[in-house]
Amino acid sequence: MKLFCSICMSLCVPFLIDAQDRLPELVEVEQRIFSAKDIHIVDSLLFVKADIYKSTEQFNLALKTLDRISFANGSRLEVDIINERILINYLIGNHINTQNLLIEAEFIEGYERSNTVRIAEILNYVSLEQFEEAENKFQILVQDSSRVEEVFDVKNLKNPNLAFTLSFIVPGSGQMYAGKVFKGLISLGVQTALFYTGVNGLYRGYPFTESIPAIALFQGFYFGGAEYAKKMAVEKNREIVDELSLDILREIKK
Amino acid sequence: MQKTTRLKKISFIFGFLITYMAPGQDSFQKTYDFLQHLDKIEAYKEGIFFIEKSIIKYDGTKRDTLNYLSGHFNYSIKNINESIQSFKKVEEQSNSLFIRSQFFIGFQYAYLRKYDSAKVLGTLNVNNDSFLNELKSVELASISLLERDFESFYTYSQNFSGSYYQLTNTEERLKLNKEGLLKAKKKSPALAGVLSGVLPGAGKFYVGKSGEGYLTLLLSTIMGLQLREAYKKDGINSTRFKIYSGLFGAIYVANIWGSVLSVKIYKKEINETYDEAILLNMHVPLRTIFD
Repeated sequence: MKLFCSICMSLCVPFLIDAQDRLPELVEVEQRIFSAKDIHIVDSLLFVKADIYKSTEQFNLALKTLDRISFANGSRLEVDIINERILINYLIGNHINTQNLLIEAEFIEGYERSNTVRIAEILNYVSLEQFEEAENKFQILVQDSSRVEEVFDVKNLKNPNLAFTLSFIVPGSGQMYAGKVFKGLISLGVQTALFYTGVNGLYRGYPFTESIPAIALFQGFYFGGAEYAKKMAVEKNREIVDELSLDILREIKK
Repeated sequence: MQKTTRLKKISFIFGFLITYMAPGQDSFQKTYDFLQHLDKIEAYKEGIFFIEKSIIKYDGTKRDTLNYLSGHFNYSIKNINESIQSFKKVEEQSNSLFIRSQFFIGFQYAYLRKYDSAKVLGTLNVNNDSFLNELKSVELASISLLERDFESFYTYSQNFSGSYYQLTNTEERLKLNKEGLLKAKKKSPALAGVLSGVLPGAGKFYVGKSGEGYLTLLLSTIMGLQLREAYKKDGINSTRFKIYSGLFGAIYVANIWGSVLSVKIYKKEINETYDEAILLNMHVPLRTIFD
């Protein structure tokens, strides 16, 4: 929530406005759209309506409203609309869409990114875990290498698949790799004890009452542990992404 | 950036102005056309707000039209209670709108499981229109099925003529739903429990959950072997035997109870699935005929 609020503030999106409060405005704008004859006026009003939806966190409705803009006769708003679409897609969390729109925009003649879109672009690269591109774009925006290095210093992402594989080779090692050393050690201890009980049961001649329960529990911990390690790596990456996004926003504020 | 900021300023000033300079309404036709436009762009909440604001200016059939549209908008965003209240305000003087409203009221009461209120359709006068009469029978037959009142269903289904293409599929599906419900009714929780007592997992097979049945059987076999091993190796008075016999007994009883519950859950799931299907059957003709 803290990150979302910071993002909204940095991208000039007022938040926590009750949608009901702006309903009269939405109706009035739509009435004017309905009665307007000039296509440019309709486009401008639709843009205004989308902005109202955006300010009340109704991002999908904002996108739907922007889609109604016809661009007939070459709308003067085209660049603003592209920028709005990029921003809203980012705010919804459609990071792939945001990236695609940013790429498409490059090919549009006369297109110019607004400052808020530049920030959204950096944050979008961070969300997509493409830190190198994010660093390059951040460098262009702040034009101060020391600040860039400071923000992007030691941001190593964890590989969830590697965490999964490591846990298969040595139980608990995947959790340790994901940064949870204590949980990894516990997992290793429990699985070793269960494995020993299982083998010992066979040796002592208790295959059903000792080996089967111990081995059944062992396999549960073994496969479950590997899945858990993968999940922890993903969570760790999420934390890194959120932390980096906040650092970037703080740095931009300066 | 500058352009966007400028537009935001315009947006703010615009918002300020329209709050104090609300334009006047010219005619009912204009209002109606605008509401149709809101319906087309699916701006239902805006439509409801607009009606609330403007309805005071109208009476008679015009007011009925607005109440009907308010019911329709609320219905579209699943504000069921508000929708019913709006439809109820449509008066008999607007004959066609009144009939439509009553159908939607009936359906929505059925959705809320208030079947007695839904049966208000039974008293609806459709002016001897044979098509609307058959639609009424379809809706009432559906309500009977929702109540699991098969006798009433049979009575209403006698009116299914099969000669209206908008209703034929619904009528067929309702008959199939009735057959399915009758079949599902026959599963007995007690029999499932007895079967599981004789052979662990058999109750699950009876309900149709064969995967769970095999798993239960396998687990019970392993537990039986554990009990045998504990008895043979350590004797009947050993702690090992006591623990495993306790576990086996608990699992055995739990399996029987699980099978009884399985039938109950199965029946609940089946009932919910059929209820959804019946409500869909009620809803489809209303949407296709009246919208």
